[in-house]
Amino acid sequence: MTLLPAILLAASLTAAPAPMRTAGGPAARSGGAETAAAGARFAVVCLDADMLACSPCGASLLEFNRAVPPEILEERVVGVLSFREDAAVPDPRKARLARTRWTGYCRANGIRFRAAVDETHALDRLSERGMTILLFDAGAGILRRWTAPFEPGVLEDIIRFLTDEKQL
Amino acid sequence: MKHRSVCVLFIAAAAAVFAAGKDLPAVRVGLEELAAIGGPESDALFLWTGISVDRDGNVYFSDALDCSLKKFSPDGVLLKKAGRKGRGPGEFDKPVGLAAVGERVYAWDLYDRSVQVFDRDLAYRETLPMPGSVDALAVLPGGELAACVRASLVLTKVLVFRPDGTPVREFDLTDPNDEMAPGSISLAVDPSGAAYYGYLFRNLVEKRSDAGGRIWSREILGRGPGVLSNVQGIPLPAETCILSLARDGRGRLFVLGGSAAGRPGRDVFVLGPEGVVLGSFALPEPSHTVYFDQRDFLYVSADGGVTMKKYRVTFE
Repeated sequence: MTLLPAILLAASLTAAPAPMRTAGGPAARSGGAETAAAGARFAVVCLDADMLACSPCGASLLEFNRAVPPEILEERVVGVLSFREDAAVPDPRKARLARTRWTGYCRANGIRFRAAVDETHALDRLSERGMTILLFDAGAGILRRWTAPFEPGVLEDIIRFLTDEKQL
Repeated sequence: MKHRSVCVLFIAAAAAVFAAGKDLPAVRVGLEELAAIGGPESDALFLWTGISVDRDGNVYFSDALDCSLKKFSPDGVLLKKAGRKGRGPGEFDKPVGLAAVGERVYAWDLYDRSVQVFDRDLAYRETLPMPGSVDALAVLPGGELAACVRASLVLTKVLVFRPDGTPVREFDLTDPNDEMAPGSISLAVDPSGAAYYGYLFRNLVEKRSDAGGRIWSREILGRGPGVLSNVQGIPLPAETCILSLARDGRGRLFVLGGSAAGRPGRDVFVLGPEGVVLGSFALPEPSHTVYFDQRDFLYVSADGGVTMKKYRVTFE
């Protein structure tokens, strides 16, 4: 799979006044659709909604949520939730269940970024082996990509990238 | 609780019987859906794990996704939510089970070597240490409690203790020299104090006396699990066998089959108290558990733990 769908999806999440259906997170609750200003750097966090209850799988997500400053999480980070579905028999309930699970997970863990459910399944492969973080620049070109578990220093790099416009 | 229109499903047992590879008698079981809690449009339940119904019909859940315990009235109104993520008193990382016993609610966390005690309003009272992580807990006829605890990956014990936590006796369920890890264990107690045990990773249901002596044991599925991999030299199975078991007021034992069953999470095998398999039927949707309340209503999960459904079970 190419990363083009990721770019398009991420761009739509950050640029559109009314983003994809989102669930959980303070930005979603406050209706904050204008979170990532045009031209800003941003991160897309690809997650498997069916793995949220798995403690080892969720450790990297919680570490990311703890390490990144709240204002960055709320303004420059969006999540994309994949979920399992029989391709031959699409079931709209599955997407709603993924959103419901994310809401519960956010409540218990204080997750501070919003997320959209990827009903297109375009990004499924990015969460197959664990959480993947994509970093984008203003032109929506991918700069970096990591899959959890993260090596030492990765979170610091991500924070630096999202907060310092000059560092690449 | 959302009351559903009465829909009686009579399910022939034949398909499940063939799938399980057993020559079981055909029984017809009716499932009448009476009510549901949660659902994809609700934020009542996110991933419920344990369920218990008290003498007044209030329904308690442990929810592993929002790290909480929840109490619903008999008609499905959320009365109380307790617990939060953490490792302290009244906190959970992954609550995986609970049991309402008299005025107390006992709840346990995945991998925690303790049981937390709450009152019926879900106010935290105390924590009881356990000799291993708890898989299941049930009340015995005399008021003592029995807990299945995993002391190690292989060794599982039954600890009998008083409601205040004082140990009374214990016995081993598994042999520490066993090769295969048993996985989590389900427990149901009958009025004599004997108990039924079902093993997640073994094609095995047992009945044992209150002192641990084996009364009978039976393979339920047509096949056992293959071996997937080894962890610390211990073979781990590729499939699950017994997800859950529960006993109804007439002494019938309902055993929910895992991925090694023909229809994972749906095939339910019905046994008599002497271990005779009476037949089987299939749930409408996969569930992770089966539970009977004191009025013999059956509770199962749906939507991957976002929904609970309550059924009346009838036999033809």
